[in-house]
This record gives sequence, structure tokens and C-alpha cells, in this order.
Amino acid sequence: MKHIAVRVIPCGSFDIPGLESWLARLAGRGLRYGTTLGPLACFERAEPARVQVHLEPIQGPAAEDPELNALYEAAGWQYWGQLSNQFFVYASADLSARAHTDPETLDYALRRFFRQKLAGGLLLVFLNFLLLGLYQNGAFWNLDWTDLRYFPVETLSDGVTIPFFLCLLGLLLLDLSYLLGLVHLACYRRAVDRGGKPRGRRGLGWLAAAGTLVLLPVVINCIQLFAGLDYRSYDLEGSGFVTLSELEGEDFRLSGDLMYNMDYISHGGTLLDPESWYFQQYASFRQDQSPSDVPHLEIRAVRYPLEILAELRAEELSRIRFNGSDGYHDLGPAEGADQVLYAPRTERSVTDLNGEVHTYLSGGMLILRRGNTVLYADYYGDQDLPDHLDAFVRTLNSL
Amino acid sequence: MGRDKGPLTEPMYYVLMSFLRQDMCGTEITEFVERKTRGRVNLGPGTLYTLLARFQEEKLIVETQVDGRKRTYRITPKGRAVFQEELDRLRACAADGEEESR
Repeated sequence: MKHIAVRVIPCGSFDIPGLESWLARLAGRGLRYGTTLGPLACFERAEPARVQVHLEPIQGPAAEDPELNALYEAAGWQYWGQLSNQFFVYASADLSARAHTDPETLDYALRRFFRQKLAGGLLLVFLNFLLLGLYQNGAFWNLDWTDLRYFPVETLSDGVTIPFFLCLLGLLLLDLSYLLGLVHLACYRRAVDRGGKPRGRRGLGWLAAAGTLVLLPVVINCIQLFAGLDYRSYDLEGSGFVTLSELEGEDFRLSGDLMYNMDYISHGGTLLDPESWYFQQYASFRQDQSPSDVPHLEIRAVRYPLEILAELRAEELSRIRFNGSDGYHDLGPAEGADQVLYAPRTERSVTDLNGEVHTYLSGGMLILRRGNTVLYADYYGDQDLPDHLDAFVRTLNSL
Repeated sequence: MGRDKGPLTEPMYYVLMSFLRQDMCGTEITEFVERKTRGRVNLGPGTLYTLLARFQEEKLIVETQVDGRKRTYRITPKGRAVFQEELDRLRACAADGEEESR
């Protein structure tokens, strides 16, 4: 039999009578309170005991107070630990023992506790602003609804939209739980003031637990962002990525500018931002040329959490025609790839409003999918990409 | 100088009284109140803990010594004044009652 049992705290954080009766009931079932971990409470298995539990609001620092423990012990109470850094937990086998014997003093303690929690609410407001501010780019007012309709996978995997909505939902649940907790605390104070016997309300704790659960991935995401774990580039050499030289031939002259001729693979991702890779290479170009006038290769790859998302993303990409490309042809599965789509592009010239002629090189776009990973390659040049399919499959398999 | 938050409750009165002759720690206060009132006033540990914090906040007592689990407190001149004020009020109450019941 396990010695430790974990339970979700079903009552609100400030629901003193609710928490007291819940802890006493569990003690009667042989679960002695030990500690809390967010919305969870840990219990030690012990002999079932009929006890009354008293929660003493912590008035100063949340460290254990030896003097207070001595006072309680002298009165026959046993110290069980702290609950959520808000209360000291005491239990007594004497069901008639009273920890508070002066209603005015109890009212003072509760009033003070209420003020503390009200101030704590300001911290929660600050957390609201901080998290929502961090992900505001993903807010619904910044969302392009047409993009969302036609390219939902791309739009929702931008690393900010889902975190924003998780933030909003999690904070909403936590705020509501906190606010209702304050209302319950105020009601408890009033009931004590009138000499009544207040009752606890269960259910509010689940609200806080759900809020914490929803916010947990957002917090992990934030930690990854602030710790710099969201970007992990690595060298091109030995990466397995297909290069422009490999397509055009070894003597092909690449741009000397590192911006156009990456010697590394840009790579990153967090819990809420799918792992992605980016790489591009351009041929050398003259001062009077634009980079788009010379052969170049751009590769993007994303690993989605689910295969269905990768399938949908491949479908989204296959609907895009770019710079005169034809429609995609399904080349069927290949060795090492579940799906291969190819859209050739023919060379074409376009005259802009100023009368300047722009020539788009031929080439094509290739979409490869293996499991939950999608690779998209956009190539401008004379080569036929399906001839180099092995190199792109190798790239996909190197991810 | 005095406390401007109404009369003291019985536990408050006896806790403040306990400091008049000497510095006291929590358990000594409980014993004092028990002895002085012959068990009539029951001072719960939560009540005492809150009162000590409150009296410190209102500067009626100050902490003088911390020795392991034991913290000792001393009454301040303001604390004495508050106690005296309450004593005078209780004397006046008692006198009024005596006078009327004669």
C-alpha cells in the first residue's frame, strides 16, 4: 500500500470551514494531511482518527512558527503542516477544543487575512497583465480570421495564438476561483460575526485546479522562452540537409553573404510552438541583381504534435500557388516519406507599374511529409526537384 | 495615548494584564490567565496568537527575546495606558452598578 495519497483540494483556497471539515473527514478515513502542491494536497496514510481540524491564517512569513506550535501543543493540538502557504493546520482529538475563544479577536484575524488576500489579488491582476501581454500577438483581435478559416494549422501553430487562449482560459478560471474565494471568506467573516455556524462550499477548488492545469503548459512555455530554450540552431555541415550546391553542382558559386547563404540550420520550438527548422541558400548575385534573380533554395520544416495536423498542413500548403507555380502533383509515397507533392514552376517575366521587368526563375515547390513532420522546399533554378527527391527525403529523415 | 478601538474584550484585558509585573512568553500568559481567572476565561491558542500579533501591531507590547520556541514580550507605556484606561472604565462600570443596586 502506498504511504502517500494525493487529492485535488475540492474547496476554495480561503474556504476555512470547507477545508477544515474536508481535512477532518479524510483524517477519519486514515489520511493525515501533509503538504500541498498547487491545487493538490498530499496525505500520509495513518490510522483513521476522529479529529477536528483548525486552520490558523498565517499572519506573517509563511515559515513554521515554533511559538505558535508551542501554544497549540500546550492546548492539546497537533501541528500538521501548512496549507497553500495560507494556513497553519492543527488537529485535536478533543472535539470540544476551541482554538479561538474570543469572537472579536477571531474577527480581527479574519479581517486581516481578508486584507492580505485582497492585496494578493493585485498580484494576480499583475500576473494577468504579464501573461496576456506576453502573448497578446495571439489575441483574437490580432487574429486573421480568413487565415484561420483557410489555413487553421498554420495560424494556430504560430506559437502565440494557442498560448494566448490557454492563458485567457486559465486566468479566467483562476480569477473566478480567487474572486469567489474572497466572497466566501467575507461570508464566513459575517457568519462568525453573527455567531452562526458557517458551512463550507465544495467545488471551487476544482475551478482553481482546472485553471492551474490549463496554465501549466503556458508557464512551461514561458520558462522555455525566457531560458532561451526556444532556439537551438546547429551547423549545416553534418546536418543531412540538402544544399544548393548539391542541386546545382559542386562548382556552383554561392553568395558570400551569410544572410543568403546560411551555414547553419535555424531550429527551435517550445511546448506550445511546434519544433521547426529553416534553411536557405542563394547563388552569388551582382550588385545590379536582386536575390530573387539567381537560383536559390529555401527549406522549412515543422514537426506537429499529431500526424493529422501534419496531413492537414500538407494539404494547406498544396493549395498555395506562388510566383507562377503550377498546381501540385501527388507523387505518391516514397521511400522514407509518406507523402510527396510537387508543383513545378515555369520561368516567367512580369512588368511592374514602373515598367521594370522582373523575371522569376523556373524551379518548383516540394512538400514531403513523414508521420507528423512536414517539409516544404521552394526552389528557383533550372533543376527538376523530383530528380533530387532522395536528397530531400534524407533531409526530412535527418530532422 | 490610549487605544481608540472601543473597550477591551475579557481575553484582551487579561492578556494585557499578564505583562504588568514582568515580561511574559505565550505559555506563561496562558497559565497566568488560567490561574488569575481560576479557569473562567479560556484563552484559545489561536486567540492568544492573534492577540500577541495585534498588540505588537498596535505597539501595546514589544518582543524582547527569542529563545528557541519561546518569544518573550514586554508591555509598552502605551500598553499600560490602554490597560489603565480599561481598568478605569471597568471601575466606573462596577461603581455605577454598585450605586444602582444599593
